[in-house]
Amino acid sequence: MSIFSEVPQAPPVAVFKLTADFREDSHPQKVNLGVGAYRTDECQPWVLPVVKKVERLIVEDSSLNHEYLPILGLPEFRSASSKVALGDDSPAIKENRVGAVQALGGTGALRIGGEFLRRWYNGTNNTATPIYVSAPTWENHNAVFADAGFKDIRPYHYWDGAKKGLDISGLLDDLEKAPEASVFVLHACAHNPTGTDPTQDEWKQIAEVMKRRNLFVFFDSAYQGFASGSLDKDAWAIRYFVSEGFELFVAQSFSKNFGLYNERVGNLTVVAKDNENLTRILSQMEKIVRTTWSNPPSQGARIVSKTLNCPELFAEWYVGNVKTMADRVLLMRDQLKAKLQALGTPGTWDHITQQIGMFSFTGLNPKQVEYMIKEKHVYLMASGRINMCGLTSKNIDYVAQSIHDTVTSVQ
Amino acid sequence: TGRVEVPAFISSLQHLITTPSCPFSSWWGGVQMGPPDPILGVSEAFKKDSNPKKMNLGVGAYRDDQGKPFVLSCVRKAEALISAKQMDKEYLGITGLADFNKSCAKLALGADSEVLKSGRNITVQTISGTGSLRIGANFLSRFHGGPRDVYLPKPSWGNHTPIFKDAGMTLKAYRYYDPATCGFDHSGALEDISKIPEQSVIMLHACAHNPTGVDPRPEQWKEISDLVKKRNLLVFFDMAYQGFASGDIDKDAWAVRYFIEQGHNIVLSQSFAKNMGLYGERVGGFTVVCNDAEEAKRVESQLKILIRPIYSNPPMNGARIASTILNTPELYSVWLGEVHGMANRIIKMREQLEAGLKKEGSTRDWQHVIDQIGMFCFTGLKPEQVERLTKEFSVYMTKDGRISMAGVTSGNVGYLAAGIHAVTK
Repeated sequence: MSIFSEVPQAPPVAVFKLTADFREDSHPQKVNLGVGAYRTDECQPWVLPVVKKVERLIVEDSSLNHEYLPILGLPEFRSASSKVALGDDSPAIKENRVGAVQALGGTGALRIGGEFLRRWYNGTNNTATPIYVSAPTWENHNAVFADAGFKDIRPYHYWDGAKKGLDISGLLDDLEKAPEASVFVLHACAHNPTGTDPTQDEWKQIAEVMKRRNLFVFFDSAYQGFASGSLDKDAWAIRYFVSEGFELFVAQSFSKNFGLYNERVGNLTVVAKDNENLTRILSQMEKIVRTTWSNPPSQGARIVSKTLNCPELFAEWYVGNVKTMADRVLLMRDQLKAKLQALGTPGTWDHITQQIGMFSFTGLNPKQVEYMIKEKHVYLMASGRINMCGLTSKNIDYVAQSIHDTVTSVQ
Repeated sequence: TGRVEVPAFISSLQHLITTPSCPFSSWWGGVQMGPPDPILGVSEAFKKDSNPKKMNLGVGAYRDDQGKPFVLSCVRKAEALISAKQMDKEYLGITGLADFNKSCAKLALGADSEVLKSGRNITVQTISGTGSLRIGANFLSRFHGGPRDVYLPKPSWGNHTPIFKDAGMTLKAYRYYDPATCGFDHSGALEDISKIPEQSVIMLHACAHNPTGVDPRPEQWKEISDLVKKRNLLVFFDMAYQGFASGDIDKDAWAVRYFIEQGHNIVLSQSFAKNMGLYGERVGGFTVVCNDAEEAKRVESQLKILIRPIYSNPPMNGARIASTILNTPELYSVWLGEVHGMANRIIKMREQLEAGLKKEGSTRDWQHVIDQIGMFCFTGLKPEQVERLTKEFSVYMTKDGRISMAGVTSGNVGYLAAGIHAVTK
């Protein structure tokens, strides 16, 4: 009799199942618009040229070894990453009240931040503090905070399906009604899955309510640079909140903007009131890290650190590679909208170019999504989310036609 | 204009003066200062010491005879091979690199293991040994229907306790180290294990026990296995030093393989930090030996659900290196030689330390220095003696008297012997 005989089969993670199904499909025109990873116009993964260059430097450097990093990670990586988020001339950095925890991807940064909040925020071990995530949000947000111990995870209004845009009044209303000290997970830019971001004015309104109602700001920043092509523009909301005096967390990912998906490069930036608070916070972060992974992996952090800390490499990364990716996505957005309009596809398609980042919430309903997959072999999430990076000059006509056929055949 | 001097009385009011750009009171006033990690804290203190003769015998990271970190040549060769392949950086699956998982299991269980043939294990890539233990602890916490108690040997690796605690388990202990003999307390262990409630979890160090270096002999392992079976306990093996203990990877995995042969469906954590020198790349594996392949699939699905909200999927670099070594015959045999070499240097240092203590004129029995195995030696030094050794000789070690033999070289073993003799005579 096994101790594990009662272990139930868990459902697969949807986004990975989609890719698995796609792989098994033999249809010659199949298109994968599921998983959020960048693709070239040949629909290939892209290792950034600057990353290749830096990796070679690392392999050839015989003075480097594989010793443990400190618990909180590679110091040069942490400081450079926080600078990327907050800006080189951030007053908070100058005042020595910004710290960071190198983490395994954006997921790891969220989890360490969540574990810390559960232990030390709003009392000690207060599992009842409400955690608000956008409706919809990246599906893993719920599990991250639930597994960190929080019992009350709630949605806040975000996507307005009718107008295909941000439900700002619903959002502000939720902020007004949230219990004091509630935690709000905000997408810094390129909202996943909707691609819909607040305007600067809307961010200001959000900040005003959050300050007044004493709500905690936890930014999820997975696409800085990737959204608009500008690091500063994509970090505007974060920097605005910091300038408004908020203490906050930022979970940063370098998976997309460095194309370092499988090296798990992330950073939890902590902005505290002062250095004294920061020191105590980081000491507790260490304890959490020690029982989770002891110390973070070295390779990805070295690559990012070398790049960010060397002006020529930084320029090659930012002006060269990041711009390439952002521009291609923008081009696909323009072209998809143009083709749908040219086809006379029912509905309005402005949201495709108004939305930003890797993803677009097409507005297709579950039945239409099923039709797209089964009849057209175009794979997208049940929510109607597509990854713009899956579009290429070669498949965009087929995808546009498929959307057109779907919308006209299935209601 | 010069620098503005801040009078002392104003400094004392600093906490009332708001930071210019953050005028509000902090959320974090109640956050206590965490204590420094006892093991890693030793390295911090060592770094600050300016004594040229200082020795860091704290962290268990291997050093060569010049006291330098050692990058294995099989690792460098593997890295060159990998670099030439120019692979992409796409996400691994949640359970990691399949080739790594297979060869990781094969290394532990043996190529002709019935478990592998029947596919009744699930092995997932983890963030080195710590990550593996944590996944295991989380899995047990969520799915183990038995008592929440995990029985650790006394003493055990310091991080075991907080890992299991954070996963929601409770910790108990069974006797293991006998301070009188500096050896294994066989009767004490059996007596304690015989009282462990059924279905509890028992943690066993597969080889090179950390921190004591004391391992049971094969006939003692057999008795433990019989008793554990009788008590119907769930065995959690921690194997962080396969190859590192005796120099022979099969010999070091003997206990794990024996228990499986005896019918225990174990869970197992493996680390490649030490035996491949891949410390900072975070390479490890977690294995659950199940009843059959169907159960293994169910367990795998639940491990994925646990892993995804921690870090989504594991890092590629180290696993790719390890997998290349394990799956390329020429590199594999180079690796076996290098592991053997590392273990041998440690064994030699043990012999030289024991001889050095004799030479100093110590009348104490230091046989345990030679009898213990693996990276660590439980010297038997008391906290006050450790403190003297650190303060007077700049020899850094943990308070429990544990030294990492890896930090000992032919150049400094004499100095160490002199220091230990000085504080124990």
